[in-house]
Amino acid sequence: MGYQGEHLFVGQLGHFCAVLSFVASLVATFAYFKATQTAAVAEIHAAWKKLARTAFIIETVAVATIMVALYIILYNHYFEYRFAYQHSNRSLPVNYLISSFWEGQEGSFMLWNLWHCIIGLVLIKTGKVWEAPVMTILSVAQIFMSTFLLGVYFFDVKIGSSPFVLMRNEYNYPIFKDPLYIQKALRDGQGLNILLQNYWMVIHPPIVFIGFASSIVPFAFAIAGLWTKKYHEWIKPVLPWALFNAAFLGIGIMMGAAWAYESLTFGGYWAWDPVENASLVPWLIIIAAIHIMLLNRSTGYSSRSVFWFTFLSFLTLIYSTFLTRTGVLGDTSVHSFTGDGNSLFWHFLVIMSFFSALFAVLYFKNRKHLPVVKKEEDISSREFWMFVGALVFLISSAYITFYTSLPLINKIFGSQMAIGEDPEYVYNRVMILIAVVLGLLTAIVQYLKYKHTPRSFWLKKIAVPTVIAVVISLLISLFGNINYMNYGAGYLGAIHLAIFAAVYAMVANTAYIWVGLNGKMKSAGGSIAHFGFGLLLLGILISSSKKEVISINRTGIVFSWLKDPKGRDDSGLQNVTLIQGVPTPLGKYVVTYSGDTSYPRDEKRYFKIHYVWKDSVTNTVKEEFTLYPNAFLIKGEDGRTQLSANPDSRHYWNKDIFTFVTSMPDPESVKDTATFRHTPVFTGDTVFYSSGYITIDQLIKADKGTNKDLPLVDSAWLADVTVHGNNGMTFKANPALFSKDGTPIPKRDTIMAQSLVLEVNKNGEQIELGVKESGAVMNYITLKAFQFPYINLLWMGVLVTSFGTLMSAWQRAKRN
Amino acid sequence: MKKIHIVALVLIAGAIAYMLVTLSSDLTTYDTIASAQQKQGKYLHLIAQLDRTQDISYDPVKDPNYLEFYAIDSLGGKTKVVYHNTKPPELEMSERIVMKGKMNGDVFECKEILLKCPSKYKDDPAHQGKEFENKIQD
Repeated sequence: MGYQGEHLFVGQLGHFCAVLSFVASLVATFAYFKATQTAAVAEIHAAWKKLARTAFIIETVAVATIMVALYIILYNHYFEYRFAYQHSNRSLPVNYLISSFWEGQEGSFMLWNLWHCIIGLVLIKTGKVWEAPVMTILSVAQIFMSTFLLGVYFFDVKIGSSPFVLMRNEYNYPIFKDPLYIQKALRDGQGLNILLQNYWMVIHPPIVFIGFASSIVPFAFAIAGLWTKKYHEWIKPVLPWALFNAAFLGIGIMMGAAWAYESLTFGGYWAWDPVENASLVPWLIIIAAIHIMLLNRSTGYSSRSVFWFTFLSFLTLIYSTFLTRTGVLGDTSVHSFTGDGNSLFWHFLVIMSFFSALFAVLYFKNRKHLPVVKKEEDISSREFWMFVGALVFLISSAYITFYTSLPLINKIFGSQMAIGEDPEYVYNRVMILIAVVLGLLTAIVQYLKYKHTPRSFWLKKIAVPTVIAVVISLLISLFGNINYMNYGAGYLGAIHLAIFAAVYAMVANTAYIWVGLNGKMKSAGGSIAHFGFGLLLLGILISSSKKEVISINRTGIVFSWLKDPKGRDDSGLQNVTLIQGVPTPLGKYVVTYSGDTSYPRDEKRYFKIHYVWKDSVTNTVKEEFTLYPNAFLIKGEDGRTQLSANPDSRHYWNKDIFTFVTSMPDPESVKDTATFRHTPVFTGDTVFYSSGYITIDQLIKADKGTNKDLPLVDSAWLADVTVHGNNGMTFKANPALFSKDGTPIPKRDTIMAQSLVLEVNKNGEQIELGVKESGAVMNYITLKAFQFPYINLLWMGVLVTSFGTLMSAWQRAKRN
Repeated sequence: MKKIHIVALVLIAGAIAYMLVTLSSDLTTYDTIASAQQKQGKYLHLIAQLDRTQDISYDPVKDPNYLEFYAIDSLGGKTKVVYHNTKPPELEMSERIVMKGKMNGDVFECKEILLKCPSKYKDDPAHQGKEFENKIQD
């Protein structure tokens, strides 16, 4: 039986390339393995290496072809493929077709796979003696990566999942027996999750996956060091890679934070969500690993821990992917990655066990040969405190990992634990202390020398930066109005301490560029990154502790028993209802919801929210702006409309006003049953309605002969009226009646605040005013508004840190 | 023993001690309605469903921060829920509700709601089957 309208070739090509990439990665692994083992015999080594490179390049081409094939399927809307059906639809703009890639897990693994290939090509070009052993490990990882896309059965066990499967093969519904099933059932796809329809989601995943993919390189070098017994030499070539990895993990995480800030509505950029934590932990550990590598290279200390830290950064990365992708987190995460949970679960478990076993075997085989420095680290040495810093990073990672893994712990032990009332505080109260320690270490450790620091030398150099930092942070503490008392004086004290530590890190590292490096900008990458880290901390501290809910509800019912036991005032009354056209006070602002608009080809509805801040004495406008928070209105199955809101922010250099809609009346459920009541009127008349009266200011009749401004209609009857509400408010309105070719076209005018619709009607020659009072007219939204001060410090800190880290990576790569 | 090892041990021991002290107050449990009613005033996670036989009361014009509905669970428990926030738009469609809060008499005072909705699970075959049956009827 033939099916009509299918495009099978592109899928077959894609699937063939998936299998090819798997086979090629097997060949590359074996050939690179042999090349490493025969390194002493130049001729055989070269032959194996040539084979390995060929296999790897074939693999790269295959992976690139898979991506192109999938893109063709998405771009041309071949909904006979399950991937296209589930993750896209016809109305999706082209730039979001790219986001469709990462909505399905096959697409994300494909991306990860492709970055591995590109990194591999760079390693082939620059790796020299390290190429063979390092590429062996990378190719092993590629075997696992390519199996994610296979979707084959191996003795009843499904391995991976192919993005090229057809709907009719996957689901056994009668419709798929019909030769015309595409036209009948698959005219359009299910579309892309609206949360992913955001420009951050186009660029955030590729960047994150550069970070993910490059984390294999430090690990591969560590294994290569153990394998080829160059226990110390691997550090120098790995450093630029480790820095690169840290920079991209960091940028990726913060892009995710920017996405959360702009399109999620929990009111911030960070919520200690499991998905966020899972990407943060590998970053923390790779930063620790980099510092251990640096101290090991300069002093030879920590020759064992450098392997462990490098291994852990890779393991936690796989573990975090395992947590977030396999669904073990279940109900605890707002990010709902779904998919073949069970098969992925075992797939990741195998990967983690394999690489852990590989590391453990090689490490313990070589443990005795690792060069250990017998002499103890001097307490005044740089290496001593760098190691302490790395330990602090490790402990903070362990803390985060424990709480993030609770659902997994529940699964293993059958327990029923969950983080309690205030999950963010559970993290924040520990992380603020960690921030204090790390900020101080970042400030002072650069001023210590390796091996031993003479006390007078150190005191002399650090004295000036310390004084400057104390002065600046005191100024911030005294005049910055930071009085976050929600968790008591102890926590507030910790915040001020952390502000000092952050400022100290910034000042000391800026000074170090001149004091320690004699102004050599080329070597300043580290100092710049440290400065950025301080700035990032400062941004986090100030924006979070001074975050303010503007939309505290003062109009609704207030419950005395709702007072939070800990005395916090954010007990949930954070939503304010705005009735269309009615100015409502919101903090120092007066806010008016003046309507909403939607655009063709855009499923979003934009709400126009006008903010004015008037000086209460002089009544002059001090600040005025309009925000357009938007929302997707999705028709649910039961005919109800769901709302999925995106915030909008007014950005100032020193603060953001952050607003989003939390609910609106369901446009479907509101039925308009009221009718117009018509009254004959003349200019100057008054018409009453239930809650006020309307005065007719002017009635104008115009037609084509007398008024050439009426090109579209033949004649018009216009009314200028003023509505006087019982509450003292007045509104201007201009209903009209047009006539074209003898057909009347009413132009109604609506006064939302009074639930009033006005129209002009003509009865013979008599003009009538039509008045309709309808509950359905009442248009309102509820919204939340926050003020984030100095959030730009945070974003700048991210940029500076990444810049410094990449600069350092570049300088080191050049020296290799 | 080297100084660095002592520092490491102190840090790790400190972290573990801290966790042990704070763990019991930081953690809570998942409960059924019946067991939650036994633990009056204790903050916990409740897994339940929306009781569709009862009305949901929410009037944002009167008070946007007051939502009231009834929840039931598979063990036959039933409770009134009060949530001082806006109504989550998917509430009516939800299959399962995870609520964080505490029982206060007969009322569950909810501070946070997580909804599990069928629309999030595009890959759910049962749901998809229904969709295709609908399409055939078109």
